[in-house]
Amino acid sequence: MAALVAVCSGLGRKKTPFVRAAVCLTDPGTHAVLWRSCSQYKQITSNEDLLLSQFISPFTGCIYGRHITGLCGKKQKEITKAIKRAQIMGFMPVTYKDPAYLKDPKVCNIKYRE
Amino acid sequence: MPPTHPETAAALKRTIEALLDRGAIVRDLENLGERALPYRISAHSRQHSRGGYFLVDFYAPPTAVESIMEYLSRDIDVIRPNVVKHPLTQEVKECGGIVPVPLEEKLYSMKKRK
Repeated sequence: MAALVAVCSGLGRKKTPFVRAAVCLTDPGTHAVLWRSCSQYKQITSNEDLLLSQFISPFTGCIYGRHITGLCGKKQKEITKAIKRAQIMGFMPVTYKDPAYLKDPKVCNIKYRE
Repeated sequence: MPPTHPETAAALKRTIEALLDRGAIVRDLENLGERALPYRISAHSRQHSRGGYFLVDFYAPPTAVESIMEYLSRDIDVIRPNVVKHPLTQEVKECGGIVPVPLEEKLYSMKKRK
């Protein structure tokens, strides 16, 4: 994999995107966590800070993407909408994660450097 | 019993009376507690860092929402008014999870080429 990428960067610019796509396809280690079904999260309201805070970064407060949370399209959209709504309504902080929820069990596939 | 100020009680009474005037049927009033706001909110030329959260359950025609929001935005005691559809009225659809899509077909067309 690493050798392939090195070769591509040597070639002209137009060819690199195409070859990078081929590399991603052959790589089987995708982050889609299928065993944890999205039907766990039945109805998402904007009151629940605890649930919604699990999907934001503790340092910057940005919402994790689909490749990190492993949710399906519909649920990811619902959670994003609920997080934005809670932030606007004044239930959840925007730029950081509420310190009370920092010790939560990790739901997402993100790994921070210790 | 947490100390309730007479001003909050008067403000709540005013809002519920305004709701009833616009033809709403109030079902429930819930106190979600008084706590520090997640971020400093400036409203009516003043900045607030603490607030009381109240949830009012009510039935109302959709045409009344605009007049309710206009009234609440004029009230000095209300920092951030929000009207949201009741989450329990939304039907819960079963989420089937992530469906694996054959990505090869998307990359190039599988038609027979001479």
